[in-house]
Amino acid sequence: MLFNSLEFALFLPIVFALYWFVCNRNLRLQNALLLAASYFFYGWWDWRFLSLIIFSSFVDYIVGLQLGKQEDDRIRWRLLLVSIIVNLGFLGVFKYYDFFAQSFVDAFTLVGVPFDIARLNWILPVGISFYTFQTLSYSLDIYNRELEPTKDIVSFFAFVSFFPQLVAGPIERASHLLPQFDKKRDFTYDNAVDGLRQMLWGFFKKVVIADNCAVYVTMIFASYEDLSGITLIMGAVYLIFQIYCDFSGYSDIAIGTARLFGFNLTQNFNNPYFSTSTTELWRRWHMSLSTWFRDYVFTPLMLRYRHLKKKTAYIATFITFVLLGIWHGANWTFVVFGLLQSVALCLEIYTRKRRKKLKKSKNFYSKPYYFGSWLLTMVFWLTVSILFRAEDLGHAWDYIVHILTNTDWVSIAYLDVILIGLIGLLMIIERIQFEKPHGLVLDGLIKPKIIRWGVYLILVLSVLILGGPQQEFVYFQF
Amino acid sequence: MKSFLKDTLLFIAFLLTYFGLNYGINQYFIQLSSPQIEKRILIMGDSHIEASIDPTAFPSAISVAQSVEPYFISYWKLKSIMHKSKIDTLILGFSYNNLAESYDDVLHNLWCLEMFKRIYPIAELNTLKGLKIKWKEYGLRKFKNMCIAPRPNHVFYMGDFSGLDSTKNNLDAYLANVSRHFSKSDGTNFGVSSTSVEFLNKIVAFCQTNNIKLILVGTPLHEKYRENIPSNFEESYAELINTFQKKGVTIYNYSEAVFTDTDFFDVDHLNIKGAKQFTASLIRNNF
Repeated sequence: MLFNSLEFALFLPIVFALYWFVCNRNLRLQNALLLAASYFFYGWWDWRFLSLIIFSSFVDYIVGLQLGKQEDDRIRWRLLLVSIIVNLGFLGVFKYYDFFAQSFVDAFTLVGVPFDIARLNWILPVGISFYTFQTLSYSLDIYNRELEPTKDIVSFFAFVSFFPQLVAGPIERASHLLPQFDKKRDFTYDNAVDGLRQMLWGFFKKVVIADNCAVYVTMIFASYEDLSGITLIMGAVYLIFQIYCDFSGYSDIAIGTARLFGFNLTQNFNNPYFSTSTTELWRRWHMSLSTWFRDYVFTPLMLRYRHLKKKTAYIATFITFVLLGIWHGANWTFVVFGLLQSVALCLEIYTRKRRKKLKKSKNFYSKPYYFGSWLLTMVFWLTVSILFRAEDLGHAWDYIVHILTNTDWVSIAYLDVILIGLIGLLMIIERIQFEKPHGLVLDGLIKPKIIRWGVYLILVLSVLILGGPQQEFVYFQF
Repeated sequence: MKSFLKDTLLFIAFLLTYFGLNYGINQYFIQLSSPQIEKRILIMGDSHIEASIDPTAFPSAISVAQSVEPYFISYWKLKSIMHKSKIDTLILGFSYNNLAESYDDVLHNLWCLEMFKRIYPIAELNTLKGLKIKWKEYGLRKFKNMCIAPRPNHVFYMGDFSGLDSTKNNLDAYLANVSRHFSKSDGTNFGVSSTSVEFLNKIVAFCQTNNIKLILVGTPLHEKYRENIPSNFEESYAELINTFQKKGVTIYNYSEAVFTDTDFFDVDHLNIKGAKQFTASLIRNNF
């Protein structure tokens, strides 16, 4: 079920009413309702893949209980391996098998040894990368003795499949979300109203900006060979706002929806396009994923290879970001995406001290330095984002080459002034609301209720009038 | 919870009032803007008619033909146009493809969004029995056009003469044109649409009630197209010609008229040169 669908508009009030008016006296009943609603939400897309979530949840529930009981490190390690193999096994088979099989075939064919491996051509279950990482973090945290296993099977299953964030995150840590299932949730006016506002803000970003950008991105990427360099740059600009507004919009709707049920989810985006370095951008972009990789890949690698001293950070960054790139999709474009990110981050580690010094100094160069850093970060992000949309490396390379060679800087096609204006407005609002969790926190900003309602009405109408053709969320494919 | 529900319901009520108000205003605009035609002859049908008959060649005619228009939409259009217009002759497209079940799918297949945009002010969907309709998309289109803001213009169902490019010739893709009209995706043939026949009868009855002379016109078809029309359509077509002639309907079937390759845009549409020639011949022989 898509958030931007009529089905969800009916589903949400029904679940909300049942949750607060029918099941409100019994916590287990509320959790059971959330579990049933989550399975219904997921099953609406394809009920067959529910079995994967149920199986993953069951394995991690049992592994969690056993890890809690066991003191023997070898047995604990084996139990953790079961969880890793099951979760990453599903992910590997469904998401990566065909990619690696094809890559092997291509590699051997290239060196003159032609052979073939059967491909599965299976549909990728929506959200598998998200819930796999979420449930895996549960086993890892218990293994690391950072979390006590839960005995409540309903709570655990509901935690894995919680519908607001099931298919595209934020990827929640068990230590943050699971305890919320175990204690009574209270309804508060402020939380619920702000949840609705956050949902509205998310819908605005997704339906008005991302879906309209998607139309131009599709057209420009399909006919890039015939378009001028400036139009191709425009296409890349549309693309970075499409992916940002699509995914952060989804996160806002997810967080807002969860708040309606008394849950607090992790903030997933924090104004990433105001970053002045790639390191900062990754601290603000898809934060639940980047912190997952930080805690379960980067930090263990840093500890494992600490004997290498200065080189450790480079090695850990490189491995982490290549894996993070592959997480996004089974395509060499994502591998190179991760690779380029890691190169940029390693360069930033290398120049950290010098940049810090320059940042602190209040001299003539500090302001241009800030602007230059921001510009450089954005140009880099714009360039690597082409890999996000390109069908393969050749497509991405051709697109970039055409930007540089089709040097007609005048004839710009697909320039939608209204859309550019809306993007500008979004950036201004995000700048004003920089410290706030989302762009529509108006309480301190606009006092009269009637004006606030006017703003909400304008946003609702914008969604209805300016909304582009309905598109699936980009991150569903991951 | 009470305050939350109160505020939420109040906001929803506010929104609903706004939507309702717009709906009322737009309903008024629909009535106000229903087409008033000052011509004697109305030309109606799908792309065959749209491309083949040039209304400017007649002393007083207008073409409102639109591509992929099934008879049920023509019927709704006719009723809407006749509210304020005084037409004495209706020229309606009557080709083999107009009878095909492929036209029953237009409210469900890729054409549905375009169709919903055209028909929302005039549609009587409850009169369509057994047709697949994408109700959700229809509802959304109607809601967007009726409830969001006042729109003075709701008439998207008035077509015109298309005058197709005579420098282009697409005769080689004839099988694609034939299969688009007569073949299902699984390779089997469409049957004759009972809905199309039903609404054609309704148009005949409407014209008789309103003293409108109905002329059914089969536009020229290239022999490559004609040769591939399924035989069941040829039989049904011949049967319907007999039936309607008995009811006093005038039928001019030019589907086998001889036109050269340079008169066609593709195998079932004349180009502008062919259309001028065909219209002149139609007037010369029949008007």
